[in-house]
Amino acid sequence: MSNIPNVDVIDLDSIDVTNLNRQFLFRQKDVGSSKAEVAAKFINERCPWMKVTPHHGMIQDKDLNFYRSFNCIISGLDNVEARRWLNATVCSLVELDEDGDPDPETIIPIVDGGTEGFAGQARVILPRITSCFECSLDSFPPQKTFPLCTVAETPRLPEHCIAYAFTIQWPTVFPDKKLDSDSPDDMKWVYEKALIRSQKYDIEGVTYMLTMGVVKNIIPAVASTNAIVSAACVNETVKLLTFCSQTLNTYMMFMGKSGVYSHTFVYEKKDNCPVCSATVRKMQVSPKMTLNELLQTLRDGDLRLQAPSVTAATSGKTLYMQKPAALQKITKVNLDKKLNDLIEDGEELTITDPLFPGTSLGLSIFFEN
Amino acid sequence: MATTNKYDRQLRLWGQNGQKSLSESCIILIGCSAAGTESLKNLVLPGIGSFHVIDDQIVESRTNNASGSSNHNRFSNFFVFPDHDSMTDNGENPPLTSRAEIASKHLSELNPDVKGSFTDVPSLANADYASIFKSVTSSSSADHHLLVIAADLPPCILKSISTVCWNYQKPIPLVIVRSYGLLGTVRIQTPLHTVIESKPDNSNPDLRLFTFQSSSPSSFDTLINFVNSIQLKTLESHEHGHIPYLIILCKAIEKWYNGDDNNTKRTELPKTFEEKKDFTNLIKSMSRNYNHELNFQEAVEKAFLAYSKKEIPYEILELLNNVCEDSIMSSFDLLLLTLKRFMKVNHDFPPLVGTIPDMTSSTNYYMQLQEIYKTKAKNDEMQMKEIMNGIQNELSTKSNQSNATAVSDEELSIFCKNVYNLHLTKTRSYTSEYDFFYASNEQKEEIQGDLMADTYDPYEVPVQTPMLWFIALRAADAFCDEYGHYPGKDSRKLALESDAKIVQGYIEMIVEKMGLLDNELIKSTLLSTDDDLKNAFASEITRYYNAEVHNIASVVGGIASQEAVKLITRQYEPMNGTYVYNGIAGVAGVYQF
Repeated sequence: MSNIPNVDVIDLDSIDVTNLNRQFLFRQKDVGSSKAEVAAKFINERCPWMKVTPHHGMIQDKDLNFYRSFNCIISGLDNVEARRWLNATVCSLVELDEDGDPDPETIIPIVDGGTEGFAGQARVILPRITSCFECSLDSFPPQKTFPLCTVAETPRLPEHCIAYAFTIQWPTVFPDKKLDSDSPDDMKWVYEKALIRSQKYDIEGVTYMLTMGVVKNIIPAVASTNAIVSAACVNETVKLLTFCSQTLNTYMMFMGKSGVYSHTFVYEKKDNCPVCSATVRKMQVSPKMTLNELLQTLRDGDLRLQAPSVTAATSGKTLYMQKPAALQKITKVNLDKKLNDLIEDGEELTITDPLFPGTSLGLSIFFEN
Repeated sequence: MATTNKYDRQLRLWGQNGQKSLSESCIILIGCSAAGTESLKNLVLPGIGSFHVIDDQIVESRTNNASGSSNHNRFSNFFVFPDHDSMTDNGENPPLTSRAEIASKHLSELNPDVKGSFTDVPSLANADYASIFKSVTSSSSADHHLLVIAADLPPCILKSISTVCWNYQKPIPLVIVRSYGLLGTVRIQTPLHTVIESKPDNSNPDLRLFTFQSSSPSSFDTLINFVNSIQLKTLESHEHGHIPYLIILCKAIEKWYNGDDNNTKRTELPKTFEEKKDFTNLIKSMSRNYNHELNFQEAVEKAFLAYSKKEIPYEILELLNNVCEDSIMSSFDLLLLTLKRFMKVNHDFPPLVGTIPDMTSSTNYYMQLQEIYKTKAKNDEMQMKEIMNGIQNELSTKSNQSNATAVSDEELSIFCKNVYNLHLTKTRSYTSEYDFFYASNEQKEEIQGDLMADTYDPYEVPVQTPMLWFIALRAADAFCDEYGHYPGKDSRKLALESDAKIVQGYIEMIVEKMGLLDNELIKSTLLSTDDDLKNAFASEITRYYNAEVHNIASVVGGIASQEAVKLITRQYEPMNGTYVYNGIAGVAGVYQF
């Protein structure tokens, strides 16, 4: 509606009936079809000046040249990993000039929005200038699951019974079949097993709706909050593209449960952000630590990497490479070796990870005495 | 898909009861601007019962230019545009031109569950709103809850709508929404809105642990007996590590009073910082292996539950004080009186909520505790029911009171569980706000005091503080009141400058009426004479000339619809005041003007 005709939209999902309460470009008849395609079609028909091009697939399927071709990127992604990938990709497009400053021609703004029930946020990321998504990773802690001992031995809530049914019983009864949370039959199975368990412990409250909520980790969603956040995002996008006014600096929060609370603040850049700062991190480890244990720390610790590969920076020696398969086979023998057999004290490692395409992390390892 | 219910994602917020209220509601939209249609879109999608659109304008049909190629005429409202459809069916049906009809058509299409209708009026300024509202409600059979949304209307029209809604036989909640260039506002008007299920985010459980002492008049006997039946010292280690913190805290309170194990005997629960520290240490000393006993760690974290008392909100206590047999006007009043009498015979305690949070525990202990709380809550609820029936009998013998005050068992049950969450919203009428009419000097002082306080907490970039922009908008409204159109109509440079000067004059008048003429923030921004700020706000407003920017309209449309949902479902706390969205800097705030 702001007369920006050339828009590309990427989404890997198909339309589900539960989308219809808020995703207003879709109707009952569209259930099962590609979101990107139906959305593009609706807009192109309603607004004939628009040329929306749909891409039904994953954002990771597109290469750097694809992203490079845009003036602005709006992200309405529904998970942290996808946001991290997009953020790292767009940040990697920024080129530095001779003075080490970012070349403005290569900066593509990302406008990111998200909602949860009555709350939401919109932010503007100017890669290398403002904080990026990775700078704020700490505010998205990894999802909490129920403690195993509670689920297995001391259930108290209906949620515990449901967790038992789908994390313990299902893999036991169907070891080769992955639970399909969109299949009514699979979900009915989980619900019934959860109900039986709850009856055994006299726990009330297991319902089909709760079962779905727990298994799919459903976040409530309504039309109004999504309208607010998406409109705020587009407002920033239009201003960025037309220079007609100022830009949000950099993060706006909305909370609508009690009254309406809005808060706008600058999300500060993180000094040692693995994506947008160039610092080499330092890590002190026990000399007995194996390469595999280091990789574990990179996955489970603050960095929350997905599948790290490691090269020694100065010697160029490959320590472990996840892909391609041939290289993985050759290097996997290093996993059980002690780090101090592989590298010198203080040596810098170059870490790459599928979450950060196009960039790498510098990590210097120091051995404790 | 695993469910066929399209409302699944929203049911998880307001439940079946909320959804039912929505489906029994009728929304009247006056004015089909983008802010209005966006507000209504976000209400049609979640399944309101019906809506009715009122407007006085027409939409020009699409024109093809001379060469025959269709010039893609752009429009700025997703739901209001020249009628394509009639033009493609061989011209048999003339194209729709009524803005109300077009909006109604495209909004209805969003959700087959919702019925849409419209009224064309010759002029929104002269329309007989009271009659239109009456005819809309009488035409529907169900007991519809009405709500009115007024979108992008000038103050003179808004004032008459505000008055009609305020004085209607049963006052109609009104949502006033506008978008103006890069600015937008939302204002709620409701003389009285009561909420039982306000569902606050952080609310402590109703555990009543502080009553755990035999000398208390309101002992929770079943809890006391249960706790006494457990001897911590005799438990083997696995069980010891799975005693729920609720019980640990009770035992700790006991020790606190008895002064066991070299601790001093206390006569009161912990109050000072030192005492609270001592209490925490007492809990730790009860543990056998603190680092491994999660339940004791939880007890320490939740130690405050042992000595804090849940309070009923102050405004509700006031209501309780004032409610009496002669003033029962609604089911809410009846419930309040029931509560009042219940508390009188229960040492000032309301009915127990009855739920306990999850905590590290064996299933057995947890289920037993849960049962104890549930049973007491159930008994309290039954007592409430008896009291309520008593009051209803009194009332029916007194006069022939109709069943306007009928309360179902379910409603009573919900009330009992939400006594600490009761909430009341009372707003001023839009008209009294616009005309700077205060009911009393006290009210004037309070409102002006709040505005002053708001100026001490400006945005990081003071000129972008939303409150200032609201004042600028009010100045534009004052201009419109005087000249019949908004400033900036003539876009030539000198004309714009001249309009801006007039707007600046209105800004000063409004600032004075708000009692802020001497205010530092105002002086350094709105009234600044510095080169770069002189008349800056007035000029920006003049530049807009009430332009409709769809994104801004969507933001405030979203806020407006969110508040409307709260008003209809009677869940969650609505905002009280005006939400001001400054789309220039992406900053917003809520103020009472």
